[in-house]
Amino acid sequence: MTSTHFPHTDTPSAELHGLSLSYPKGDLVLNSLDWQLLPGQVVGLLGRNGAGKTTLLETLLGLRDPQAGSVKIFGQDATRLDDAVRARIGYVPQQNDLFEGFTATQLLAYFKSFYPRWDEARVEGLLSRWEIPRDRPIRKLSGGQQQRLSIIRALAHEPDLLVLDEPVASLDPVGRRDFLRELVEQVLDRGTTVVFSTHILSDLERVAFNLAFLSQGRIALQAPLDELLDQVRAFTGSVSEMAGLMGRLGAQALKRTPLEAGRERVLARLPANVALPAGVAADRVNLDDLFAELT
Amino acid sequence: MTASLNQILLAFWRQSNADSSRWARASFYGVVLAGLGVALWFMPVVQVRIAIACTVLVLASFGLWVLLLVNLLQQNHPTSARLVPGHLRRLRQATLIAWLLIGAAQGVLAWWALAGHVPLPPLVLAAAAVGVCAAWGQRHWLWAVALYMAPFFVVPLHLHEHLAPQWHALVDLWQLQPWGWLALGLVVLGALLVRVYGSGDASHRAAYEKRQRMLKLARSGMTGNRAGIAALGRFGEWFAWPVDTLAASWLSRLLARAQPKQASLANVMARAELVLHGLQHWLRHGASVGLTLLCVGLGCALAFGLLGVASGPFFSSATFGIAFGLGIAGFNPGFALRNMLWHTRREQALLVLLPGMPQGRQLNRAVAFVQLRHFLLAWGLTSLLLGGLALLTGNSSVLSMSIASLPLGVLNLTRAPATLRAPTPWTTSRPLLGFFLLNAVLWGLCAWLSGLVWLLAGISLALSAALLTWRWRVLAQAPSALPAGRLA
Repeated sequence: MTSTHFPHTDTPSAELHGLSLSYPKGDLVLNSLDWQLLPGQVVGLLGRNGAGKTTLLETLLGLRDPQAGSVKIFGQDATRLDDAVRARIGYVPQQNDLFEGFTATQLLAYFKSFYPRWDEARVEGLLSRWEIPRDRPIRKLSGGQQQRLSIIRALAHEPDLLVLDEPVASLDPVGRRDFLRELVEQVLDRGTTVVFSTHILSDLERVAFNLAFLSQGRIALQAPLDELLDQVRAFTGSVSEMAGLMGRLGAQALKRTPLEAGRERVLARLPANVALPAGVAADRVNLDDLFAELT
Repeated sequence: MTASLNQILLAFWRQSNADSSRWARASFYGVVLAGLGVALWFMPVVQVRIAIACTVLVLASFGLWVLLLVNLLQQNHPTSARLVPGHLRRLRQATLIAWLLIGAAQGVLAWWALAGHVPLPPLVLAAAAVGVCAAWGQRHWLWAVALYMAPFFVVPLHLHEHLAPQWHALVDLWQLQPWGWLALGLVVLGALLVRVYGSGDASHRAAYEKRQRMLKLARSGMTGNRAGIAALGRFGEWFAWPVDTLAASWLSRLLARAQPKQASLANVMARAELVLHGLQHWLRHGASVGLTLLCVGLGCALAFGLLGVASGPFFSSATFGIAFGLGIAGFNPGFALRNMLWHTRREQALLVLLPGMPQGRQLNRAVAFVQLRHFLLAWGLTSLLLGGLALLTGNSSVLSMSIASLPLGVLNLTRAPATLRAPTPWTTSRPLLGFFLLNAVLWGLCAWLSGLVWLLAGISLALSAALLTWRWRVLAQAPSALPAGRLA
């Protein structure tokens, strides 16, 4: 879908190259990471606790300074974005950054004054549908209401790149469903590039067309969810059998787990449209398995 | 542009409204203005009236500038600075506009106050410079302390004499082109001022998080939940190290002596006290005050020994300040410990379920006992120090602080914790204000009739004993003390 404000382009919405980052006196969090977000792509970022998802998203937005590598958003250095590009970015941080002394109305009026476009009707609709008190100080709202307000603020200026860090962590199931509906509408209406991290895998199955697995400081795998569920299989056998099988099938081994007696379990991705030969046993994997194995 | 500038400046007003009670604010300003009006009315000389009114307005506008800065720095969120279009630019513009307006107003007011004896340009520049210093002081609190303390070292270090030639050269240079220098000074200061804001990078993020943490602790402190000095960062951690080490040793000692099957009430309550009073625990309180007194003592020794400051006149002229400082530090448990019960109420829910914890009437008296013991011990030691100060200076009025605090502290600490309400800045400061007011009255009475102090001390002791006897009986009938605040 083409944005009414910005014509369709194949230039990546965000491009990270050779990114390395470690905390002072800490381990390497991002390790020569390469990643690309294409226009209109919806990417669910998965990783264990402490894998560096928040750090990656913050670095993507220029909020952290990497020791090496480059980050470009809509072709500009993430640490030197001009106002036109800033207006195209929406961000929902994991830690609430709302000014807590404001009411919801005041907060939205505040941010509205900075953006060249602002969908007032949508803001009003969401405030009503999500039952957010307009005139109560934000600090007195519940965690879920604050999270919803943060989402409304991020959606209001119709961003072309939407970055959401655990956006549904404080929401109940109904809130999560409403949020996902909005997200899908945003993507369908405007072709927004969306990247969001979450631990709630069932939500990913509803909306994430692409999954990116963050492990050991790198994007270990990124692919459309349907393809992964269709193509990834778990094989078990001796090491030599597995090596031969992978070669015959042209499969990409994603993870090898040694077992006893010279056997191993291999999680592998088959090429598209390749059927398993008769007699070869393989287990299908679900999203939980993929998360456990690849992160 | 105007819309976003308005929003930035309006945010200060909106957030101030949300942060405090409108009535409390209006009452405070009303009392201050009425007091000032009455004081000015009785001033016989018109020029003195103008000078005082202008000075008060200068101070008030400085307060406004600091409050505005606090808010503007809070708006300078790293995410907004990096991702909201034009946010940082507008923030800088708003700051410059406010700074210029307030600085100019302060300069003119100071000029009126000084009846034109000092020309306007240097006054405006001085006001603008103080504004910039205040801004950087907001970002680095140690700088603020150094800047505010610096003027007090000018005379003892004879800097005014050493730097006199340079100062006169500077004045001569200034008089060549005062308005030009003013313009240049404002440009340089303005450039320094806008650099107080971060642009959303990692260092800005770290500084903002630290600042938010400190603001949160300050807000929490306003309701009696004092944060340790370690919260101030690395410097605070160094200073707090001896206190933390002592507290850890005390905890180890208590735990080593704890016997779950035969625990004495004293041991159980000593362990419970660690939880109930947190950073206000008697050991931390005593060690912190002791450490502070040690530092102040060393500072005084340095001033008397090396700088030649005369100790007699110093103690005579600083009697009130020393007494006030000692009183605040020493009598604080009488006003603060009760609020700590509210702040630790969640831990108390677990505490009351532990084997060995007393229940009902025994618990009520045990809680009151540990609080009173802390207060009375601190009261006794502080009174001894104040007595020493009275002997040293020949001013027995300083004992009015002991006289005023004793009955108030006893009454405060023997109220039923179960009905304790959530402390607010107002309810937290109210007993302290009562203490200050009573102390002011007693101080005046003691200064008027020097022999009265012993009579008042006797009345205070008798009243406190009567209050304690009455409240101790009432406590036996009160609902179980813990968890505090559950019946409010």
